[in-house]
Amino acid sequence: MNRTSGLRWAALLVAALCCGVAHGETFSYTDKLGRTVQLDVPVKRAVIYQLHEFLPALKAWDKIVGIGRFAYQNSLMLATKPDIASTVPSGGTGTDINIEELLKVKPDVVITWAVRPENIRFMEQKGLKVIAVYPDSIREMYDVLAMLGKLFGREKEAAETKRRMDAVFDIVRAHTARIPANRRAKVLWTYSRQNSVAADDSLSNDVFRMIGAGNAAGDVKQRTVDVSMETILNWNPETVFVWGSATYAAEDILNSVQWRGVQAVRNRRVFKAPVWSTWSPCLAPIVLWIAARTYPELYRDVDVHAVSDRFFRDVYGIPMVSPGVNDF
Amino acid sequence: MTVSGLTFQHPKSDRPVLRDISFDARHGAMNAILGPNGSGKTTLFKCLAGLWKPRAGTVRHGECDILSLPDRKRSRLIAVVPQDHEPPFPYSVADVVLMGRAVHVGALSAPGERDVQIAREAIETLSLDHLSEKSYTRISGGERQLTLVARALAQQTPILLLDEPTSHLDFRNQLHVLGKVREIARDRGITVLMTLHDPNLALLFADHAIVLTQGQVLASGPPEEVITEATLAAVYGVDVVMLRHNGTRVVSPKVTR
Amino acid sequence: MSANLRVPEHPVDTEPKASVRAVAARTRKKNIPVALLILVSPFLVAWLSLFLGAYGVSPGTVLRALGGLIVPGLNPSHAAESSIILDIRLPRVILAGLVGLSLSGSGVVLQGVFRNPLVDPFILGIPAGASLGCALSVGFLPGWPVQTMAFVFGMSAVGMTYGMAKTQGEVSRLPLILSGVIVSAFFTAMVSVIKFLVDPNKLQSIVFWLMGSFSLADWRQVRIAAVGVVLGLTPVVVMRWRLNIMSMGEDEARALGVHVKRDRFVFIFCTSLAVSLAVSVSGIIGWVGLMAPHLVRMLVGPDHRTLVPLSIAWGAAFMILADTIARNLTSFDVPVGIITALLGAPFFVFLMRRGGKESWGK
Repeated sequence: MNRTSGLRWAALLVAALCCGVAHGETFSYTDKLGRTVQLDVPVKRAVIYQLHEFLPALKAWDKIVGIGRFAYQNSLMLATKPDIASTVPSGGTGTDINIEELLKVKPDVVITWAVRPENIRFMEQKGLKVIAVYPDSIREMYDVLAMLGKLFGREKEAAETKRRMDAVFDIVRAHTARIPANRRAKVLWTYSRQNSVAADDSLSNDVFRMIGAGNAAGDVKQRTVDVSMETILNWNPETVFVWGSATYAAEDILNSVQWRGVQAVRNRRVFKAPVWSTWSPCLAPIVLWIAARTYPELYRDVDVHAVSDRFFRDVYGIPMVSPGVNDF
Repeated sequence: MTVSGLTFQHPKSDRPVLRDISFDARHGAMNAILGPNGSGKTTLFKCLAGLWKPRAGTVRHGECDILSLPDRKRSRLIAVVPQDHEPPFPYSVADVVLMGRAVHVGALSAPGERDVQIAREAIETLSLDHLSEKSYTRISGGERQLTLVARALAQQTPILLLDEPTSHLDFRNQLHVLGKVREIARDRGITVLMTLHDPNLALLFADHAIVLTQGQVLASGPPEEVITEATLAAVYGVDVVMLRHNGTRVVSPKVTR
Repeated sequence: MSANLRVPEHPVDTEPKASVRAVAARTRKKNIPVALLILVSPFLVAWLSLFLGAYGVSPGTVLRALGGLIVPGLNPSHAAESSIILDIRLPRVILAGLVGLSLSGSGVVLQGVFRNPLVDPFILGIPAGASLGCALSVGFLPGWPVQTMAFVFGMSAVGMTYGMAKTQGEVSRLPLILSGVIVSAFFTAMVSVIKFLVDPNKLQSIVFWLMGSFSLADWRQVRIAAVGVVLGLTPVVVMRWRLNIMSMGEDEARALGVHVKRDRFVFIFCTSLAVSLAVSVSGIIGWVGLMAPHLVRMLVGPDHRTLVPLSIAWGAAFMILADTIARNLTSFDVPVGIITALLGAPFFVFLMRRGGKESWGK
């Protein structure tokens, strides 16, 4: 063929490609339940029940037509989007769905957590596209973040957020490298009751591994488990972290007669974690905070408060939202 | 015991079930209240036992009006023998008879040696010793009725009130139970008052009979005088013929084959 | 004719006192070893449980720690290990015993009051009330301690049940049972509403509390449960013979001179006190209040003079046994309610098949 028709073909091809990009591509994603979902991205109408703390980082508010009810009480949400209650409609919760409300909103995609497969099947049957999430590790967290970026056409922001999280993680990793193998601290994480602990929870274990600590409850093969006080005394953790939303304070453990045999209590190393969610960019400052509390001498060179505040400004554009702990 | 002017009416109803009932119950004797269903027999029984409150009337025993007494005091005067029923738990006969001592044992105590002894004596009187440890639910109907009589006896009251004690019993046990009760009445001077449905049993065992019809006393007196063809026809609407044999009187309904 | 009717008489013992003793002997002879065993069982089980636990403590240390309670100075400076025994295991074993006996004692009394061996101490709505108290405290009123709220609402539920059942000044058993069902349903629905409104983080607390456990037993809880036992169960133990009579039927009991209304109120109030306090410290543990009295009734008969104390003893033993298994079976604490059901049901079936039908009154 001659030059002119070749050029014409090339122009057509480029135009077609550009059109493809401008009109959106088909994105194929395999979710936590192993389901493959195909979507035209970027989506225009999304209902999101989990992971909403990623939204302000991705600046994706314009794509949201429904949000999980508990977002309205989330201090981070309120700080980044004070008018959230009036601008973003409620989608209910991810566990109890009102299918008619959902269909009325005509979402392109519903993002919810994977604990209720029957809900997801139901929504699918009604013609909705659902993505089930349950990030069980930092890698999965990044994967979900990238997915959200792709979904909302905010790949750049997603990559930026990941970079900033990695920057904080790198601080931790650098310090961890300095810990001799036989000096790994034993840590315990307690949930809604003092004897309800995180055991075979991959995300917790990922975090512990990154900071160079071992999970005192590591040999129990369940995500969260109730144990007797004697077992805790057996484990004898060096540091105890209390879930930020627990109804009891670190003092309750420190002053308890039954805990006094544990070295963490003897050395006054019981801390209540910040109330931020872990399914969120906030995971990075949380990890830094846990690391600094576990190895205080090691992190003497890091101003955790400043780093976290910097992180909030970079990612969210606001100063650090109160973590709910006094000694941050 | 003297019943005077006993009147009873259900709160929601406009007709009295019992109208001005008056009669005497003989001391140390077996007094039978006869009448068909609907004559007010059961209502009279419940009023005397203290379960239902009559509109008017008194039941005098000695000085006091039993109806005006509180439950506990009443239980020291009247012991009730209900119709047989199945209790939810298989108490032993001895346990059941011991319950008769309740009114004499305080709320905060358990029966003592003396109570156990009195219960034991009641069992002996009713010739139930061989059943003493047996489960109340596993003995025969007649034996159960006798157990309830023994319980009432252990309560040590001057008056014994029995509710149709023979209605669930077979032929032999009817005679056995009534015989025993009459023995007790005579030997211990207890006033026994029982509702009966069978006129023949009244003729055989009662010392004094009261015939009820439609909430009123038709007649009262010795059974031979009160249970006649005329009264039975009036009360039951059944024609009967009175048969006499060696001093024993029996009523037989006129039924044509 | 009537004079000739006689049943063969049996010879009457001339010595009334001897025959009373003979009666007593005959009644209890076959049951005395069993009764003694039941009476002693809680102490045996408790004793053994003190030697078992996730934190291996040598028997010598256990003995020394316990001995140190009686003879000061006997226990030298093994502070950590004796703390396991004195601050963790001992209060846990005692609490399990107290809660077990509260539930079982209340169960047997209510079975007598309601004349039905299938009644359990939760029939008047206490667990639903306690759950509501817990949910309110966790969900909306964090300043009000869970245990206090659970107790107050547990007692309120019974109060409501009793009040609802009062028709024309009379409170009888069928209305009580129906009211109990209604009140329970209502309170449970309210708990569900709260669970729905509350954010998932707090929801966990409510759910865990409801499941019932002795994992965090301490001496303070033991004191609370002890109050329930003393105030609640002492009156009913003293009055236990009246249950024989009440279980025959209301009219009969009245005719026998028992103040049915007052006695029933006392029984219900006292057992509710004991159960509410037990539930407020340990959560809701089922099966013991129903099954323990049943078992004892099968073994020693329905006379409440023996049945009530022995039900109490066995309830304590059983709960301690279940909790010891719950905390030693695996590396984590199995909810004790599961163990009570797993232990109780097969044993119960076994006893029933051995001809325990008598206990049903058939």
